[in-house]
Amino acid sequence: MWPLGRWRPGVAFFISSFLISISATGIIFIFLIVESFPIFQHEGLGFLSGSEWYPGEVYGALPMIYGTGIVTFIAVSFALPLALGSAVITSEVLSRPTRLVIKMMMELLAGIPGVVYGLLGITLLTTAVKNTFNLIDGNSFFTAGILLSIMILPTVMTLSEDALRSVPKEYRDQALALGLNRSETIFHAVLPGAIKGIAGAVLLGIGRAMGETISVMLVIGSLDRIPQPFYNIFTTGQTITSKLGREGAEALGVGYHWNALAGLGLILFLAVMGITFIGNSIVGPLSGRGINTKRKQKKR
Amino acid sequence: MKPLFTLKDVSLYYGESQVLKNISLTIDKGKVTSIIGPSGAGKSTILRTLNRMNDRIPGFQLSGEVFFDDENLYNNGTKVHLLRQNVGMVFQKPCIFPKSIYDNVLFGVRHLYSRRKHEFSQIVEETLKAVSLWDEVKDKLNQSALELSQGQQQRLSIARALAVEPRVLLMDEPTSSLDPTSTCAIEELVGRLSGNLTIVIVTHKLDQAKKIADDVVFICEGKLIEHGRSENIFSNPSQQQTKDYLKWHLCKC
Amino acid sequence: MRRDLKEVIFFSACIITTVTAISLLFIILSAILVRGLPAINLEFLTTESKEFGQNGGILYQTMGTFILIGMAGILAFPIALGSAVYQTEYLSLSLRGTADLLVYALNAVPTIIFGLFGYMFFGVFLKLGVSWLTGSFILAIMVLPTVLVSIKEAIESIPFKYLEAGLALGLTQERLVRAVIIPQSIHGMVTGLLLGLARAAGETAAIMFTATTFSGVLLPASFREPVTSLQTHILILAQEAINPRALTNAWGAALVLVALIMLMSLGSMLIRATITHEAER
Repeated sequence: MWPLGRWRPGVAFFISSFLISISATGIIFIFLIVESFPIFQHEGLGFLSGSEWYPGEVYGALPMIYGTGIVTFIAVSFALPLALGSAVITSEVLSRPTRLVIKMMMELLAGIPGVVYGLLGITLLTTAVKNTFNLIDGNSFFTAGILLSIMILPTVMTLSEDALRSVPKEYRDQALALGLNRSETIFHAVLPGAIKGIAGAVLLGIGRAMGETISVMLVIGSLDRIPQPFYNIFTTGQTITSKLGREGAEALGVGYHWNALAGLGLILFLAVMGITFIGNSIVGPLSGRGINTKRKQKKR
Repeated sequence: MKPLFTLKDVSLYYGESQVLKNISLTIDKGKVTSIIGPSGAGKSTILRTLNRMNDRIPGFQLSGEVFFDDENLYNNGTKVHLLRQNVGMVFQKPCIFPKSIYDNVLFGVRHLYSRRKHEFSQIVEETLKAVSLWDEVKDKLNQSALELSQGQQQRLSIARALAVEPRVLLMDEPTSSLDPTSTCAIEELVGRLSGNLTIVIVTHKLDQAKKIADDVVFICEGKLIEHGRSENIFSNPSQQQTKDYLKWHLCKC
Repeated sequence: MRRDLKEVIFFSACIITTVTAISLLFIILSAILVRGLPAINLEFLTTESKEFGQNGGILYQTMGTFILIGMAGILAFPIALGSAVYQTEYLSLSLRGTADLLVYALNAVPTIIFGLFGYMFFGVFLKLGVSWLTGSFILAIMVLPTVLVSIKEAIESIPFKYLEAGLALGLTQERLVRAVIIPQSIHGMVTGLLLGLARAAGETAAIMFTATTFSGVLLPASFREPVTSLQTHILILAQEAINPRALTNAWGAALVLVALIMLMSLGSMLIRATITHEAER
């Protein structure tokens, strides 16, 4: 229904607001394609596979792609068990008031800005990592990954807990009545019903981790290289976002350097969008989760 | 006399399920028509067809024709909001906005007619008197309407519908959530309002239909079984299903 | 018995992770408090910064943050409201899923990309340059989904009977929006706006090279001047991590920023918790 038949100021305003809201993502996508086009012409697929990046000469994105991948992987590997374990305790064991306090705290922590996590990272975490693993430099993929895991923990935990709680109480009662003990009940009756929601929570966490800029930029060391051997995560590196944050200001709008950064932006955009769409198709496109943690919704 | 509403071979679907089956029916001006039948028979659906309140339900589809005077309601050109100003409706549960009594009465009027401000207090008084609520609330018109009892709230809903000055009032089980006293007040009110106003009321209480209706329509499983003068239907129904229903409150259709 | 052993292991693991998670979060909160509090006094809050932030306060940084998020709220709110009303009241049912998906997609865009795009679009194309207005435009797009979804959820939770009652009185769709939908979803607008402002206040990447400058500016005299902000102030000071005085001030600014954001989130939580529709009583 597109009531364009008669011009009415109210409806015209609603439509134009709506068009802005739904087209913004597309416009940004087109912008990234247009701005990065010259670098793909210039470097070809070498842009994706090259590991050298010298502004003015050669642009290879592989170290940054690697960095984003490995840092996100570390972040999720640490955040997921913590989030799941605490979600199980919060949803299945704790009393209602305690649960509400914990969830409120989580929601507040999710709001702490990236730059404050960066400050925490640069002052506390880098030193801790340096001393624990006896490194020359505390800035590393590992440090960034750990910092990100703390940052996404509240989101993943809150949404996983929502998923667990959305499993009807009857399932638990039925399983307990059949003689299963509590851990078996959780594994066989609760988790299967909540698995989609948990997957959605994890994907959302991955998207957040990939896109976080400031805190990563402050603790990763900003050196464009793939470590030798490639699994040596205790060395300094670079992610797409930290690269964009470091070099964005100097290259804004100018030359191949800018096109190359826009190309990095495009890669990041596609990765995050891909994950978001997978998440939405698993959990259901109508789920508003992750934007605001909502309580209830009546369907009409 | 020319009927006010004419339904010609109306069938109605929500998605796959057919709710009304080939209903043809006329409703007379100035009378009280009561639609009776077991629950789930489609009584409310017929009522809501008369002011197009079914339109928003997903999968809604209608075949056949519904005339209000001479206007085919389901034509594309019909101005639905004008129709609903002429055909008011009262729902099963009173729906009161979290506002004062005064503002609740004027809720429709205020948004429909822009230049009647000086008449507002008069409209409130007249309509509240018409529903016999004036004496109970005249000193607290500015208090929240949510403090009224259910029965008072339902009469307030009727006052709100009357304030728009409709020609028809549709009532969908208006007393089913009310106490006996309020029920009596509303039944008495229906009798008083008819004449100037055409009233169509859905009810599952047979004694209520008997008390207030001029005409009775008996519906079962989406089909119209019998339609006639109230006294005929209740004393001497022509269909076996109607007889069964009146006796056992059950029907096999 | 093996089953009992499994039970014990499982719950011990869960409890260990819970304790770890909660203590991590406590460490973070207490670190911010312990390190930030010593920096904070009346002078810190009410004077301008000196010697590149090593001395002096954060008055203009705080005001800069308020200017940026205030304007972002003013820009985002009407669009969010209009779009939420359109999506719930006018858009055909079959297109609603797609529209929601596009709004969630906008929410997922990494903020640094908003910075790159916003600079080229508002700064260069619309010739606003590196200015607070550019920053506010960028933040407005960024928080649009947050505000929109909150309003949309409020509208969707309006009891259907209110809409029916309005329609049955003969209100047109426009009148229904004005008489029922907007007044009944005000709580969603307030919570959405608070959440949006909180999100904008925490954002650094999108504005660091598009709207702010480190020092040397007080209040902007026109639309086309940059401001300083708490977020970027913390960022710059954090990079001088060897200088203890700079670091103390960074923690002070961080505490102020975190307190500001938490106040806004708490406000939205309180409203969400207290408001229930009368009809649901």
